[in-house]
Amino acid sequence: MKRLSVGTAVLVLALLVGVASGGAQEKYTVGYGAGT
Amino acid sequence: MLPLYAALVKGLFAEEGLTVQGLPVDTRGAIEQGKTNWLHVKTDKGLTEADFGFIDVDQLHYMAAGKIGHYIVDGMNFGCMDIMVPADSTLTSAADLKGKTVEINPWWIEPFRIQRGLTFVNSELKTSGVDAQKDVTLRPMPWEALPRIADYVGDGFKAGRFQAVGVTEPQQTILKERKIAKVLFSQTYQAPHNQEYCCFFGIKRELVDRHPDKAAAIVRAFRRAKLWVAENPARAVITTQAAGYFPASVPVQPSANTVSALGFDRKVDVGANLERAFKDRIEAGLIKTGKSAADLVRLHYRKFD
Repeated sequence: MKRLSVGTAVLVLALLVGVASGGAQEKYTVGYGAGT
Repeated sequence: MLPLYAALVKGLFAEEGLTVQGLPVDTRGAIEQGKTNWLHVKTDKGLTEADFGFIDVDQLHYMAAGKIGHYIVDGMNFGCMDIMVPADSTLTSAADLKGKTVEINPWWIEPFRIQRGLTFVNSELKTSGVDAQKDVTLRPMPWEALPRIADYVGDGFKAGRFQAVGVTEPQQTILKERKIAKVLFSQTYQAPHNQEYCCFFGIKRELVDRHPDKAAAIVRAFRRAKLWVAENPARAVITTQAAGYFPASVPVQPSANTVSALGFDRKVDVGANLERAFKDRIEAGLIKTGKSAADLVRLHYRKFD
């Protein structure tokens, strides 16, 4: 079996931590009317 | 609305590290579905509430009843609505509307708003000895009239279907430019109507309570946008027209003049202004509550420095 390099392992770990901590940036919505 | 458009166009939310999507509210949908505030936008999940945006002063009855899921966190504009009569009309005051028919924007109705014709119209007429609900016919114009407001109002005046209209900027600018109508009385230019915020700025309570840092960033971006619009009214109109937010058909300089009158840079104690708005409506019997105006401010306003 092919081994992961240290760099790849760190990257995978960082991604997992990011996902687990809700690392994706929150997207907000602003409602606007048609006026001035 | 110019500050909301400007914040999006100029990337002011992004500069605060926020990812924000601007969505037009679905006013007709909100009214037809019995919603309690204006911040309903169309998404693939149906009509949902935006995270933040404008909160109308004449929806404070719903706020007092605990039916609005946003806190008020700042003020936005003073005025934006007028009662207009034909450009050659001999009507000169609110008292002259007694016995007349006034067609109003279709969102100027109860229960979506606190009373038919809004507070400023009822108040102005009352001062002139006219009961807006009994002495005047306040009739909502059809939604279909809105995209062709100038022709609709001009034809209605000529045919005698109504003698005045209740309209919201930029409709007045269009009607004045086309020489179809003139202002009889104004929320924007007349005290005391222009002493209270016509629209506030609100953010979802959950967002404020759980992520006060994000809410503070939203408020900072909004305040920078308000100031930029106030200091650059013509550029604000041109920029937001080019981006497709503000109608390209509305003339720039008259719109810029209106923007200057909306008080986006006015320095006001928002909490005190909101308390006065609650108090006036409680005393008028429009908000029925056991709470004081100060209590309502404590419940529904969050101050950001």
